[in-house]
Amino acid sequence: MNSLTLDRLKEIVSGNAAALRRVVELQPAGGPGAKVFPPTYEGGKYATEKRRIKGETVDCVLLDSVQSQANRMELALQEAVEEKRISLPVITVDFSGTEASFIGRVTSLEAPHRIADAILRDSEWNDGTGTKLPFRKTPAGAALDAASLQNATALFEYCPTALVFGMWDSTGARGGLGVKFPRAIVSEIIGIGAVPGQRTGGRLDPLQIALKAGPVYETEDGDWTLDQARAKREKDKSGNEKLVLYGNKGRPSEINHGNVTPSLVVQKDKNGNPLDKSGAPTKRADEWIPIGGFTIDRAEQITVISLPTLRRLRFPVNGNNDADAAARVALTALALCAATLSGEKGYNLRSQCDLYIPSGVPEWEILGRNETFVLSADDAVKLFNQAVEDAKNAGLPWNSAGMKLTPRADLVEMVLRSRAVGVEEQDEEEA
Amino acid sequence: MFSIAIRYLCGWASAASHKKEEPEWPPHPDRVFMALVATWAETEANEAERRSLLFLQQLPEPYLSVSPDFELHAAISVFQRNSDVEERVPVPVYVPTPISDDELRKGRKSKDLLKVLPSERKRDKRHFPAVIPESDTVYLIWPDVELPAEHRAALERLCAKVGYLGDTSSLVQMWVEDNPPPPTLVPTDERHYSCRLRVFRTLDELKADYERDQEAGEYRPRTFKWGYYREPEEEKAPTPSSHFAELLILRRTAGPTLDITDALWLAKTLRDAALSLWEQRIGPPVPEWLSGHTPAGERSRRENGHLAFVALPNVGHEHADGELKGVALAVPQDVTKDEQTLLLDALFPWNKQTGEARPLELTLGRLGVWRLEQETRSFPRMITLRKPVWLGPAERWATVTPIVLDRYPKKDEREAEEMVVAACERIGLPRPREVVLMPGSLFIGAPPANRFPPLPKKFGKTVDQHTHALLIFDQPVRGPILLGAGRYRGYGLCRPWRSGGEQ
Repeated sequence: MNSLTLDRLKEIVSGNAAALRRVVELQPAGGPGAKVFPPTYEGGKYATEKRRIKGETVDCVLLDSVQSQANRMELALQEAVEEKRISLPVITVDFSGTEASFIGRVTSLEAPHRIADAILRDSEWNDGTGTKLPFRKTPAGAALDAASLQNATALFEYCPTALVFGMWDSTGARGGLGVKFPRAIVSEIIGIGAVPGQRTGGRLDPLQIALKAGPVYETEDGDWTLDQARAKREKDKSGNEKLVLYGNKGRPSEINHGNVTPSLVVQKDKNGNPLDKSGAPTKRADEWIPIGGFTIDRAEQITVISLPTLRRLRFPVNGNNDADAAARVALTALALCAATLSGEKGYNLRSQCDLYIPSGVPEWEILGRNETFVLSADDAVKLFNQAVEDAKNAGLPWNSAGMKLTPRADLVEMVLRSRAVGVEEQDEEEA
Repeated sequence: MFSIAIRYLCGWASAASHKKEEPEWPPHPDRVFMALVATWAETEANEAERRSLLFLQQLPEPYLSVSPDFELHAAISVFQRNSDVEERVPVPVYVPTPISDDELRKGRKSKDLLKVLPSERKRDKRHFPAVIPESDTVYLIWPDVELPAEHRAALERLCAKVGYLGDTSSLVQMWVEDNPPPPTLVPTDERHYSCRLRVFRTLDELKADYERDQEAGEYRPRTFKWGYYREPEEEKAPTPSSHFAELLILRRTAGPTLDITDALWLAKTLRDAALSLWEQRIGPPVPEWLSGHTPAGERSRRENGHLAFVALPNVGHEHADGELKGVALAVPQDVTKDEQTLLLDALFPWNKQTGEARPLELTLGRLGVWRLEQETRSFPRMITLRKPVWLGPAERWATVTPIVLDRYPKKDEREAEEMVVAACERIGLPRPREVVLMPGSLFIGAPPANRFPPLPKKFGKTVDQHTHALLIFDQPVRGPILLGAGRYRGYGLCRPWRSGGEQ
């Protein structure tokens, strides 16, 4: 099996190949045919679709979206940076020395809009002489105003991930017309042969407390009791005194004891009434909408790295473009590294949605060249670090020390006030 | 001949139509041209490439080869309460939105400010509509144009530099292809007969738009050039077809809910409206192909029959409920395009100022008014309103509304079957190999034959013989297929039947 060397990667990037594509076959952790729980969208629904696979129409369900995959890849890079496996420029806003230290730190790999995020914009940088500069006035921040596809050198220096995952500087001075970099890597995971399932809810009580053990009464202080003498008393409509049952009917289940009869898990409104497809409460069980995950035959992760998108970027250094090729190679290696590192972390997508690779290291195809290669996570890291060295030798700046920012006092103050307001409002809601 | 090929590398194509939550499919030629222009401007703005763009922009509208069938990518089923239908729509995604300076400064008192943190960030609803086409490659084809040698290298280079089309997640590979497959959509002048796609603007127009946006500091709405596309004629020729050649589909955009059993009544209402609008807007006499009567008031003996009015029900899938979603006009083969255009202009007067047709309002007595628009969207989301669903071609056809037999069969079932065979031959179809009569329809959502009201007859005859049927031909035949005595009035409507279920 071919592995990928730096020289070969250079050939691929400078040639006319359209993309690198990897299709990873995955299985649910519970084995083939096991149930997985995809992400739910508005109304507790799953995103489904039909695909043509080998001439047949197959029911599929989306297990992880393009956006979610991008976040996972960025977090995998963040981890690799922290473990010092790779050298990668990252901008960090550190809240730890401030009153809002509970926030910890936010990096350009975590902030939703990457280097163009408002958190970065509203932070400051100590230039070493004791002067605090607002981020957008620092060399890195100012670079955003001047950045373009023809001049991405400064972004390469301070936040190369923005060039791989895409970025839109919509919070800067130019608003919606701020610079946009399209994403160069797209990945998603789908479940194939998806059959919606039915989940049941229920509970077997180890204490075997029976319904007849009740009734349970409410006490004056809101606790529960079986002792009628301790029970709270109220007058009913006709003025007779009566004991107050706990909950609605004083059943043991209302204090979370006893068996719960197994029942179907279905979509419900705020009051717990099952809903029909039009979103109206209904009592008819045949109209209820089950929420029960899917059984799938297998899952597929499809990752595509677009080489034309990276080839469009230019990296002038001292007025010449000799370093373009080295920068594009480094970014391609960064994309490969992000995809493989995220794969190495495993496919624990969310609760009850664990996947694994049943066999081998998946292959990358070079579209347009009819060739393949394999790349392990360690090799990807090695390749990336080599590519970075190469780029640096070509004269490209690479701020691997990263930039440390501190939040502006206003931002900290705002966070604190908001938190206070948040707590107050929460108290009111509970009262 | 040359073409520009576009391959969607993830297997799906994400681009929004003018309605943000609806996908654009096929990719409009103008979108492709814009992508090439953007690539040119964002790379070196090379002179040879610019000349190749100038060459492209002066070409006639390209033919397209594109999968007509597609499925929505990552979609959910939602129930539209206002129109009482279930539809597939792209999942709404909540994305973190940028926080502007203004928002931060103004909102000091609000707890929303905490939302500057990534975990608490305000999220806005967005749609990323995308389709999964049957084939991942699309071609823009110029069958009568050769790519001059002087432009080839530049255009190839330009194509190779395009990384995505539509949303940035919609990664593509583009190249110049000299041997594209046959086109599935061809440009036409006949705005009534197909879909409306945006076609190339010029480089100068795009530059002017861009400069205006830069000056205004925001994106401004712009005007597009529209072109009309239809399926190529050649495709129909070798397939035997009924003497109804064309199906013009009208979509219900507003109005009360009607059931499939109202088909007869709705078809009559539409016919009355068509006759009266022709008289009003075109002027009498109403032609025989439209009314089905000679100027002397006798029943038409035209060889190819006359115009049939068909109600289109939602049938044949899991959630089908038999509700009528629109209507269609089945046009006889010998009615010319000009004649059809006259009729459509009478139904939908063209507003020259807006470049849009006015909708047709069909009064349904006390029930209210149905508003109808001609279905010219490139690919309607509602299956019922897609032409190929009713036209085939297919070997097996089954009834959606029952066939009304010419008379009550006296002997046995064979006689009734023979009447259905004769009905096929009467509309110009070959003899079916097999006819299976049945009381119920094969399509989910279509009720049994005896639930449909009888056809009003002359001379006080009321007995009607309604039957559902499955027809099997020796070779694929093309629709629309309308059979039996009620064929001009919404009965005997057939649809391709694929064994083991619907498409």
